Amino acid sequence: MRICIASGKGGTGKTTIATSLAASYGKEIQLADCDVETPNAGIFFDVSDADKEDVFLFVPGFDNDKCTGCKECERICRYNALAVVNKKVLLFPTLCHSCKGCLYICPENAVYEDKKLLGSISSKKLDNNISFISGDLKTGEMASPMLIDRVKKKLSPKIHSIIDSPPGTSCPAIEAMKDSDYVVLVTEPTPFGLSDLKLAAETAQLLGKPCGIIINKHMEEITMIHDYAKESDIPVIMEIPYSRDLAVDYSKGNLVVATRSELKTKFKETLETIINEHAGA
Amino acid sequence: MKELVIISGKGGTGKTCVSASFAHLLKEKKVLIDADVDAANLHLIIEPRSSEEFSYSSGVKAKIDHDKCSQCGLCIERCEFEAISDDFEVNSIDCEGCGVCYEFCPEQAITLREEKAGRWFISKTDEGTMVHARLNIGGENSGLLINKLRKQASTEAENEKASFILTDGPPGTGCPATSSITNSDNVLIVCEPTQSGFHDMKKAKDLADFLKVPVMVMVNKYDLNPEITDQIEEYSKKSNALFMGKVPYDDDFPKAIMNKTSPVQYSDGEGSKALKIIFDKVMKNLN
Repeated sequence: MRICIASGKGGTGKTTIATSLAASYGKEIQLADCDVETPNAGIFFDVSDADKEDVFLFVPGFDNDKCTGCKECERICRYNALAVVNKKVLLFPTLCHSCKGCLYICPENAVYEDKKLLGSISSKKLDNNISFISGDLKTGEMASPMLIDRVKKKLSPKIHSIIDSPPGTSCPAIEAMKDSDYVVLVTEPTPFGLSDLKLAAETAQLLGKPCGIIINKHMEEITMIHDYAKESDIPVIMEIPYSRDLAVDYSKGNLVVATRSELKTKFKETLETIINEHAGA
Repeated sequence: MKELVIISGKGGTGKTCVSASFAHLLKEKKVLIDADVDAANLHLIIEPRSSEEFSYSSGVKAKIDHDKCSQCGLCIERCEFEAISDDFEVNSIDCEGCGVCYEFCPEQAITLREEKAGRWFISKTDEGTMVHARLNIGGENSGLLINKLRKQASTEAENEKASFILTDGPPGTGCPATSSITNSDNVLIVCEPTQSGFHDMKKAKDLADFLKVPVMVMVNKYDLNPEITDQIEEYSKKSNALFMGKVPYDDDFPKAIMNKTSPVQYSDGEGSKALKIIFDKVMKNLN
């Protein structure tokens, strides 16, 4: 099954939880970092020698000898990525959505398939049963969902997967979440955390995904997340108490479960419960 | 007109805390933008007294008329976004509104419909006019919406004779971050001293460099890891970013948020003091 670790708000601990779940499971598992704009999961493992492949997207190329300057390509492009000036086509590659409309519409066959670099995908089989996959969007490129899609295509359906999702509720977050079987909503007990948790929960529910909440930096005296969970009938599946010591460990790029056996057991049990209750559903 | 956009790369580093504090410290007349249209938070601290609401449509989605459809399959074949199912239904979440199916359907069975993608607001607050938005779940083209907010903020600033536009930016380095900082004069990256925060700060810096926008850098909660803080400072200087200073972890910051106010209004503790010094320095270094 596929488990998506999501949150509306950034910095609530998605990567900490995604890496900890994967590292605590003890059996074969895939960990996919789909926060391709700012991928961080790789920081917590030794992935320096990961296999890296470039990912390209279609952009049109133009054969100036064939082009008559009819502007059909400019007309069909709904993203303003093409402009025809003096019978010459100008392409703005970052605006291109790779829909190939120009390729199909050109009456002179003057458009050919060219490509632009979108980013890269790294993968490595780690020695703790984790198959690690991570996307990294090229600076200045905007099509994060396309790269997220390519990262997910690398996942084997036969092995459980943890998806570290980008923050927010717009297209990149949806792309990461849409074919998951279960969504873990990571939040923190602050008004920002709560406000964005509600948005993330709405997103998961809109997509019809079962979900559960993990409260990070939990403090007993603050009950706002539990109150919301009760109200909205979403279970709180785990609490990680606020700990400066843990934050310092994280800051160094250390896996927080590496030295905390109790926490590791808690993550393992949480993941097993999710799998037992929702796999194959 | 002066402009400052606050971004971070990594989420949760304290952009909104810094933005709300700067908004309060900035004595000249200003217009505020919350450009985190996915998960806006600035309005939780700087609460609107009144808001004017507008709807936003991002583009179009395809719809197939089954009475006209001959199920030839050309639309499925040519849809690069795999948005059309085998029984010829368009999945509106996957549809990018490119119009290829509409253009080539031999039966003219496909129409394109405007899709409401969210709402945006012009609000009156204690700190001045604020433009902000609520993108619908799964909304597309957040970049376009941010462009709209920025344009509107300029208009508001002109009308009100305000001299400053302060933007609480989105996380990441993709479409929303790009739209937030393109053609702006000043970017401040709020960074946390963690390996992740440092990594993402570099990506945000690369984006600003790519767009030729000058960068300032500050570190929040620096005492969490003084060593990485030093590395960030060194990296900033080496890469032609202005290092503005560092703020220690201060319990009063989360308390301020709980009380729906900015840290500099809530207390005069170590964090607030450091933030005020950074504010003064940023103001002196604006382009």
